[in-house]
Amino acid sequence: MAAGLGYKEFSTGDVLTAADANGYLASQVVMVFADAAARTSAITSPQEGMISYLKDTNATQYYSGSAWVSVGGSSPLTTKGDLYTYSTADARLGVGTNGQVLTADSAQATGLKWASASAGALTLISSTSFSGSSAHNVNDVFSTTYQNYLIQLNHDAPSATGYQQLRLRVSGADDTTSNYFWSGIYNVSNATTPTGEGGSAQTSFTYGYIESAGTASCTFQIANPFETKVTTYSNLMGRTTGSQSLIYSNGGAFNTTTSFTGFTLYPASGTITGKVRVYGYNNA
Amino acid sequence: MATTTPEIWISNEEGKRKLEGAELEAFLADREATRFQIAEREAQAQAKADAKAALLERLGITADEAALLLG
Repeated sequence: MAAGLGYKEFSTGDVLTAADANGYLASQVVMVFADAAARTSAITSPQEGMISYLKDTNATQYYSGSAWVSVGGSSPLTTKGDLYTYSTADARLGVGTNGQVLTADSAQATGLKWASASAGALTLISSTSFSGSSAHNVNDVFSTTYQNYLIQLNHDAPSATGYQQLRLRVSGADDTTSNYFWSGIYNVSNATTPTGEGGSAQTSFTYGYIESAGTASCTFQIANPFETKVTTYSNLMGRTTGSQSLIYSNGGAFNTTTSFTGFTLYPASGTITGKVRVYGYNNA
Repeated sequence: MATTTPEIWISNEEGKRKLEGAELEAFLADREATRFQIAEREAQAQAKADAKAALLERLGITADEAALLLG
């Protein structure tokens, strides 16, 4: 296609030559130029609404009345994860770091920013599995970060029927002093009267009783384990033996102001298998 | 009859390890103490239940009737 000759208004009686048709009429539909400089040279007085095409940038542009503007605008996106946003003009918002979420923020030029997700009410601190263990130690989960904790425990069938114990722990060692006080109730299947039990000045908390054919799940709420306060707990366990179901609800305290960093799960007999997860309750 | 020392495996976030020597002896002694505490607790609970049953028998009333009296 021949290069455009520019813009021309024909007068009455003008003879339209082939060159006029090629250089003006055809080009005035979409005028084609090598580049913007060629266009400027050819069109000294652009008219609002003109459309041109620049070969060097492959851009189709219209004249707004004051400037040549790309039709549809050009994309500001340059990088993987970029978002197409807008301030007073089209704008690029680069992707955030892993785990960040897109957040509205009126202080930003585009009204958007990437920011760390706010923490939920619970934060997972530790998740460990154990199999055929005579004792399972959970270390370094209590700290100044949280005051209260949730422990979720899934028991597969233990190797022997018996009581299950929890002991508090600090610096990698169990606290075996006789400061564990607890009491609880349990109910078997459809019994109408629950049974109470408990222990004073014990060397561990008892949190349930599981038969070797049974499985159980248990939830603990533990308050103040790391603070120099009395550590208190409550737990709820449901279990089955195949023919019977049973619920345990226990609670108690470690009756001195020791600061603990972890705990141990252990059976009175045999070994245990399962998974334990520790969550911290956000203090706010 | 020869006795066999049980294998004791302790687990944590890094895996399992077998207890031996003094550590094993300490664990077994501790577990025996736990069992003793449980047995003692159960014996106390049983003694309390037996005493209650004996008293109800002497009084000639049932547990539900006793509860009514105390209520």
